[in-house]
Amino acid sequence: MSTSTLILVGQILASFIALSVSFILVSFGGMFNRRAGLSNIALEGIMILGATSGIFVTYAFSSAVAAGFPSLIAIFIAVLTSGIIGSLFALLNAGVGITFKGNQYAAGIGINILGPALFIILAYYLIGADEMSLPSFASITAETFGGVTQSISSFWDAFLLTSFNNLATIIALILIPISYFILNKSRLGFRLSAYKDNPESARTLGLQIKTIRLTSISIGGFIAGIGGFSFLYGLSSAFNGQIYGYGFLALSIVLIGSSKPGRILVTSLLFAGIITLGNYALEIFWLPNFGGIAEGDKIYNLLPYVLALVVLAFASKKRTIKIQKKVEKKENLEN
Amino acid sequence: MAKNKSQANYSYLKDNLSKIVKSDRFIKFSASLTSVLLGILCGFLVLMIINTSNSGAALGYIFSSGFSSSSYVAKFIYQAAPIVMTGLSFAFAYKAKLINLGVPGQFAMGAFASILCAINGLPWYICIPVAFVAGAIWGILPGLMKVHFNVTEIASTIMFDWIAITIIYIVFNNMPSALNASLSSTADIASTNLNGIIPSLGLDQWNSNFSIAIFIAIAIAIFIHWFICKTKLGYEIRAYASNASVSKAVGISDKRIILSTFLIAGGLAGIGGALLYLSPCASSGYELTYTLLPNEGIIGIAVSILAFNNPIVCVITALVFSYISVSSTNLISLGYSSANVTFIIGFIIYFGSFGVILNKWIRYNYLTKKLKVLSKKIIKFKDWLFEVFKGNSKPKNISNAYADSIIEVANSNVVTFHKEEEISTVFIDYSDAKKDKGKERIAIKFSPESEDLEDYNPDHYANVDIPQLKRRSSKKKEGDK
Repeated sequence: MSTSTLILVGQILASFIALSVSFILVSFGGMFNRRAGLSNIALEGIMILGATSGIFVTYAFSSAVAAGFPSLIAIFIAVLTSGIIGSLFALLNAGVGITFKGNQYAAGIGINILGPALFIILAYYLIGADEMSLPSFASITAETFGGVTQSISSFWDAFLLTSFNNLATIIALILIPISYFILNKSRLGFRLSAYKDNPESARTLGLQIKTIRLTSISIGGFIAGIGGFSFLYGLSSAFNGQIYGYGFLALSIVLIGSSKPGRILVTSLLFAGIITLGNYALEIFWLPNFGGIAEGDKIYNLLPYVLALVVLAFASKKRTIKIQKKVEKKENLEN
Repeated sequence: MAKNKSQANYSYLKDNLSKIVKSDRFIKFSASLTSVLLGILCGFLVLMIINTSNSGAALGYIFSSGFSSSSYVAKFIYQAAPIVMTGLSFAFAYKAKLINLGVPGQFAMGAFASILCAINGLPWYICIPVAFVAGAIWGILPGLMKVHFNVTEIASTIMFDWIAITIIYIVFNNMPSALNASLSSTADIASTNLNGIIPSLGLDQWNSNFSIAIFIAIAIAIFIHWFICKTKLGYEIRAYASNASVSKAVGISDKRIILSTFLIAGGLAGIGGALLYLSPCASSGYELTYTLLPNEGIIGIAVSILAFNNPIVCVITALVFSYISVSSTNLISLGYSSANVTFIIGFIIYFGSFGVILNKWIRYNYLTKKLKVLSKKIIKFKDWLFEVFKGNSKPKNISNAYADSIIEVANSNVVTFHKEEEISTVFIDYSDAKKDKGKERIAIKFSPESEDLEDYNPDHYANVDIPQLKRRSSKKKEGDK
């Protein structure tokens, strides 16, 4: 294969990894929320708010970095801020459902509306536009470590420069085993599963359910906020406060994966792959490019949503059949 | 006699007031009002952070500029009509405990169908039913998925939203005849087909923005209220919402309920799309985009939540929301972004989601405490006035010396005693007990004529030792045995 094809493959793989990282982070965040009994509609808003806080923190540091402030620390602070903002808003959503016994769906819709509006207000106030893109120091390249940026000349350049250029990829790689450990081996995970099995009996055992749930939700919000920030790295255009319903896709990934880390990992890779293929459809020769239809390439934008619906249909149907079989078994035993 | 009458009037008024305050409607109303005000407060805080000097003027604009000219009034009424419909859509689905987040998609589908019909020369009274059908088709799809595959409607409706706007984007891009010159939005309907525009029936003499769209919306709201309260299907929907398994056992098919609810809810949102784009002042047509959900659909959800899913209240809340958004268009002239309105609306929904609890919390923890402190201050002031004008008219003490004349202690609340050659019965109100002084003394009220304990008169108060009373009451109990 020629080098240009190889570079294209590298770019496709890299953008696939960047997108799947944000899907993995956000849907793992949603998983932690769902384990605590909060099916979080606000994931979309939390993603946007995480991205917003990350972009503005890097913006605030841009002059300091130009003056010699280490850019890695600035990126780290941005990631941390986006996580904290995410967990704050997840707690705001959870507080309505858990503490005040209100309508958590309505609160989630409210947060989803707040997110983009807050971005536009801040962007208009700070730079007078309603679009912003990440400053160049935010992506980790050879320059970050004092080297010189090289032009993309091989597969590995294209692959590494655009996929492992942010902290979020590394965080996601660490997170996958850690979240498995938290949910299956740690005290918090056991307590969460005890709560999930039977809330009343968990309460009678003396577990502080509210604290456990809120801890899990804040962890989930933290991860989802970082996921929102990592979404910015995969964007080809400037961020305008919209993420095309990817937060809802993450929510449906959680539903499809029935809040189990392994399944969620596979499902988010699947969704990221489909979306990446759609984005590069015009450059991949074996995909139809719908040349006869105006704006025909937008048909690929439909794919993730349609796929989500189809997979949701199969997963939910399977689950109901399982539950029915369980009930039948129980009835047989009782008889 | 006159005094008695005024007292009776007063107590009647008080009873009625407390009834109103404790009624469900008042609680809901005050909850909605609280959440609107809190949302505006949060928006105001952001305005203050961004630009402190202009924030007061901006708040003034939000509250008042909607009524500043007839064109603003017409505009907010014209924008209310589609929001009423989308609100009704969410409210109707919520009557069956279904969360219809697909309102934006159904709205877009209705708009799409009605615009297509209007451009092809059909009159408005056909376009609106077509919009209903298009919205209903888009609404029934998540219903079918819920019925046949058990897919939760919270996830599926949102997927259908994005599918809807992407499909509409592609289809409109392949119909250049339906678009305007710059191919960014649909063509002006008024210039191609006057029949397709909703008539104004002479209302446009006041302002050209008026049409009968809002009356259609109000009529549909009333019809939906009647439908839910009076018809068989409405009754079944309510039964399903209150207890799904019991209604199933009684013989109400849950599949039929889910499908028909989604059908009607989708259709209502579709009509909203028609009402917006077939209005005489819809200067810009449907904007072609595949990255943004239509704003009216999302605000409709807010409208319904704030109206506690009551169809008729939806009209009022829709008017409030469109008032806020229209009167906030001037914020740009003060140097603020127009997204401030969206921000305020987001906060209103957030507070509205637990508005009742929030309102209760504010009332009990903040207002009542403050009122108590205030009333005590007023009483102290009254005492002081009595001292100044009447000389020493402090409550007389029934201290240890006077306690000998206590005749009977019925229980720890009612005491009969002898005072100045008169026998009187006393009700003790322990809420006024001042135990913090260490002496355990209580100010007891005695008013032989009126039993109204809240009617305060310092002459009717006295101090009694609590231990003595308790001893006496315990003695009496022993005697009973």
